Amino acid sequence: MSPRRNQNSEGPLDLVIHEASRLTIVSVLNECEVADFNFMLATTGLTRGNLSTHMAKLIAAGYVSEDKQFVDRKPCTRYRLTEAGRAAFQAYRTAWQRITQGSNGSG
Amino acid sequence: MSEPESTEQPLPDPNEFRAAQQAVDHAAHAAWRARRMLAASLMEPVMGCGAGVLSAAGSAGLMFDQTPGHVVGVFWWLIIEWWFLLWAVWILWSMRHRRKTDAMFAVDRGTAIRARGLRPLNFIASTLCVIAMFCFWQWAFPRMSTQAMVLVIGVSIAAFAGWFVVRFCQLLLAEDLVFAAAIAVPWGLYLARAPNSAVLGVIASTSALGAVGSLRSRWKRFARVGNGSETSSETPAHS
Repeated sequence: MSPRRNQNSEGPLDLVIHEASRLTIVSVLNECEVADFNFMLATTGLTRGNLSTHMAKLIAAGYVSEDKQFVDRKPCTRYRLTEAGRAAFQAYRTAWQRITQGSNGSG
Repeated sequence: MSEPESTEQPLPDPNEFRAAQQAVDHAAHAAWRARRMLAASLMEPVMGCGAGVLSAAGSAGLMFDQTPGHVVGVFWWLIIEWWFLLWAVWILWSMRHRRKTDAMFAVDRGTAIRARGLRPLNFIASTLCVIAMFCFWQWAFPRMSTQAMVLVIGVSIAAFAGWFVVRFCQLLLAEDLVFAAAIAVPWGLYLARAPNSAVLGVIASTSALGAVGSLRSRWKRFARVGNGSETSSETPAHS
C-alpha cells in the first residue's frame, strides 16, 4: 500500500503533523526506533482512544507503521516512524523554524 | 533547488500561532520525556553493574581483612547482608510482576505508583530497612573506629537524603541511590576493620548472588527497553 498524503499537507505546514496530538506522537516516535502502545500513552499523555485515532490517521498518511502482535496472549502493538514520516517531520520542523524566525523578525 | 516561499510567512492568525506554539512546546516536552525514559533505562544497568561490582569488592575486602579488633557480631552481619538479599529479591519480584501487568512500570515509576501501588510498598520496605541499618549502626558505634563511624554515618545520611530528594522529584533513579547505600555499607564496614570469618564469606557470597540476580534482571529489561521494544499488554490485566 502506497503512503497516502493528506491534502492539506501541501501548505507551509503539513496539517497531518500540525495537529497538536499528532505532533506530540510524531515527536516522541522520532526519538525512538520502535515504541509500543503503553510507552506512547505515557509519553504523550493522550487517552487510549485519542492515541488510537491519531495513530490511525498517521498510519493512513504513511507516516507511521504499525506492527500488531500477541505476546503471552495479550495484544502488543508497536509503532515506528517511517522514512516518509521522518522526512515529513523534519520538513515540518524546518517550516516551523522559518515561521517563528519570520514572526520574530517582523515583530 | 527552490526555496518554499510560503513557509517564510508567519501564520496569519495570532491566536492560531499561539496555539501552534503551545502544541510545539508540548510536543517538545513529550519528546524530552521519551528521551529521559530511554536514558533512564540505559542508565539503570550501568549504575546497577557498578553497584554490584563495588558491593562485591567491599564484601571481598571484608572477607580477606585480617586486622583484629572492632568486633562486629555475626548476627548483625546477617541482618545487613540479608537486607541486601531481601532487597534484591524484592526488586526481582516487583520487576517480574510489573513486566506482566504494565510495561510502563518498567520505565516510568510515576505511572507505576498510580497503576499498581507497588512502589509505595517498596518505598516503605526500603525505609524500614534503612531504619534497621541505623539501629545496627547505633549498636555498632562503640565497636567502630571514629573514622569509620563518620564515614558510615556520612554516606548513609547522604544516601538517605538523596533518596528522598530523588523520590520526591520523581527522577526515576531512586533505586540507584539505594544501590549506592549498598555499596557504602560493605566498604564502610571494611574500613571499620571487621574480623575475617568463614560465615562472613558465605553471607557475602549470597549478597553478591542477590546483586547479580538483580543486575541480570535489569540487564534483560535494558535489552528490551533500550531499543524501545519492550513487550507489553495494551490492556493491563488486573484480575
